[in-house]
Amino acid sequence: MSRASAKGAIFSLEALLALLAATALLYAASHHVASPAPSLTNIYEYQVLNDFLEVRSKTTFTSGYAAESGFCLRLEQDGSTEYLPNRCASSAQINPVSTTRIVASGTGFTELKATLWKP
Amino acid sequence: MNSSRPSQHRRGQALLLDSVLAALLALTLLVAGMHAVSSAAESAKQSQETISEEAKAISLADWLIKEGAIFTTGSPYGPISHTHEIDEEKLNSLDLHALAERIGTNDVCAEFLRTNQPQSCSGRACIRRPAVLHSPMEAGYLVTCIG
Repeated sequence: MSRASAKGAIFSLEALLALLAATALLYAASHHVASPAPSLTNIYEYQVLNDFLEVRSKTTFTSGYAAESGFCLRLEQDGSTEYLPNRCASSAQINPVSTTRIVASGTGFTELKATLWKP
Repeated sequence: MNSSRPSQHRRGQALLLDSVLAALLALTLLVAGMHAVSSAAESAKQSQETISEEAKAISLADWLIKEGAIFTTGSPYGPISHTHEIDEEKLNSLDLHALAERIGTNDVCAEFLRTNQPQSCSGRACIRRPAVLHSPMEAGYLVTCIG
C-alpha cells in the first residue's frame, strides 16, 4: 500500500466513524425519552381501594360489583383471605397498592389489610 | 487551470465532492435533529395536557365524593357529612357548567351508576369511584368526566 492510498484509507475510516456516530446520535435522538410520562395512576388506585373499604363499611357488595371496576381486591382479616371478584385468586398481583385499617369486629377491633391491583 | 497539473485538478474535484457530501449530511442531521426536538416537545406538551385533565378529573371526583354530592344531616354540633354516600338529588342539582368554568375546562359531567347501568357521561378524562347511593344504600360508581 502506497503512502497516498494509506492516507486515503485513514480518511475513509474517519468518515465512516463520523457517519456511524451521526447515525447513532440520530437514532438516540429519535428514540430518546427524557423520563417516563408522569402518571396519576397510583393516586387513583389508592383512592379506589379506600373507596371500596368505605363502601364495604356502609353496605354489602358482591363479587359482580367489584368486577365492574376492572380491579382485583384482596381482603385479609382474622386470618382469612377473600378475593373480589373470585377469579382474582389466580391473578398475578402487578404493581399492587395496599392499605390497612382497624375495623370493628364483634365486641373488639381487628386489622383489615386490603390490596388492589389491575389484573 | 492551464498551468495546473492533471493530478491537482482531480484532487480539487474530489475535495469538492467531499464537501458537498459533508454539507448534505450536515443538512440531513440538522433537519432530523430539529424534527426530533420538535416531536419531543410536542409529545411532552401532549403528556402535560393529559396529566392536567386527569388531575382535574381526580380532584373534582374527590370533591364530589367527600363534599359536593354527598348526603348530610344536621346535629346539635353542626352538619354531619356522610362521605361516599351520594345524594342523587344534590348531584343532579349541581351547576356543572359553572364548575367547569371555575376549573378552567370546557365541559364536566358526573353521574351515579347503579350495578350494570351503562355509562352515559363521557369525556377526555374520566374517573370512576366506588360509592353508595344514600337512598336505598346501594353500592355503585360515581363517574366524573372532563373535556
